[in-house]
Amino acid sequence: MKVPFDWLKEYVDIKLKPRELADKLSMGGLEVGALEEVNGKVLLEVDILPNRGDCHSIIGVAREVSAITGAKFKRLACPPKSRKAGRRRVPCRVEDKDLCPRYMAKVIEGITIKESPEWLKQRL
Amino acid sequence: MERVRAILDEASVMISGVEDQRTLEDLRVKYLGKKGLLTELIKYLGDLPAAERPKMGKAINDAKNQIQHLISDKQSRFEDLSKQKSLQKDILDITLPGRAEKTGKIHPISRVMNEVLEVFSKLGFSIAYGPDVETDYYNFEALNIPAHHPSRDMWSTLYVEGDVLLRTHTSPVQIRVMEKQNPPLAVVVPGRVYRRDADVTHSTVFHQVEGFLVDRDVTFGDLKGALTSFLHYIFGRQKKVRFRPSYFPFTEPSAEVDVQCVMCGGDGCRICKGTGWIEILGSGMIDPNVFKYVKYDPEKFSGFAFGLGIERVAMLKYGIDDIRLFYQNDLRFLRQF
Ligand SMILES: [Zn+2]
Repeated sequence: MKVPFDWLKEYVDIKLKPRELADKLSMGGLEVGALEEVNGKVLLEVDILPNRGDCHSIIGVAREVSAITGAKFKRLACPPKSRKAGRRRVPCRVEDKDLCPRYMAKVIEGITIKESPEWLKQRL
Repeated sequence: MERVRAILDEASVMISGVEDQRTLEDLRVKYLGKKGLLTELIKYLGDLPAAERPKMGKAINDAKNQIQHLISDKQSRFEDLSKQKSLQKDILDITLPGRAEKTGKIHPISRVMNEVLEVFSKLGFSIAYGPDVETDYYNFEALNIPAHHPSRDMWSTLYVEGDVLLRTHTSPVQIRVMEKQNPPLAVVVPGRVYRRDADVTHSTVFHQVEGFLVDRDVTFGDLKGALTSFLHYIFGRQKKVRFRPSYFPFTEPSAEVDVQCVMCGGDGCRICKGTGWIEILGSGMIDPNVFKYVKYDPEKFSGFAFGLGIERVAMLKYGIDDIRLFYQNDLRFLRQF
């Protein structure tokens, strides 16, 4: 997974240089397989092994950085626009409680499909 | 007497004109054979008056000897000629020095493989082999990778049919050996392995050496000691080595081992992708679940296991940046080793 160094910084204060952070992550169990620069931005290529599904996101890696460096993890506020319960329901049924103790689903409404803004394209 | 002379004269002319071996032989039969002209004459000796017989007998014998002599001369001339001809045909200079015999060279992969096995045999490991075509049970299940386990994604597997596959690592031989033998054991397993990958650092077919050691009280310290001394043998004592926590389903805890980049010395370059380190092998303490599959008591025994890619070691050792060079059999490449 490609992790932009600057993006990580939105979730956790990083005082280390990219190379130092890469070493710390690698030695902490998240291997940084490559360290590269794309358009002046530093990218960490993090190899996530099958036992670390919790790190399959920028937030997941940021939590790991926080745990390794001791810097506080900053949860970004993202309040829902409305707290009203929607009318739509997703029908679903758990067939085996042992294999799937908990199943969650959410309906998001009011989506308009249009071209992504530039900042989002950069990140993707 | 006249007759003898006439025969002798005729024979001399005929023989001197002969140009090939076969005609010469025919003449010999004509004059000297059992029914030859001279032999016939001898039969008539009895018809002569007794006084003339010895004279006549001597004349015939002289003629016989002379003709024999002519034929022998001609014969030896023929032999000289054919000897000369054959000498001209294949000129042989027996004074030339001998040509050096062309011997092949050991392929860099075999060379590194032998070197690795030699180091481990010095450390007391013995060698075992297993089949290239494996079953799902040995390649995955008995190594604590049940069907649908997420870690199966770590190996892009080539299936033959149903549960039969081309082994993706040499680890199944761990199971095969442990099923048959009890601890203590220290074994290395060289062999070909197969994956559905192909680029400058990955080949569909490549070589691995698997190693494992099982005994009472084996610790991670033993693993670290054995692998560090192995890497020092191969890359030299001055190279830095680090053990980095990792994950494999068949070991717990697991560690990958990195060697300081041989190209840039740790500053970061294209080969080490900016990290300064190059991964060289995977290792760990054998998971107690694996021991259960081979009916070892995990309370009594512990062990470590490791696997390394021979191509990777050869690339680092010789500074080769494209794995495909090993399989193209280009003599310009192979002669350099
Ligand atoms: Zn390097």
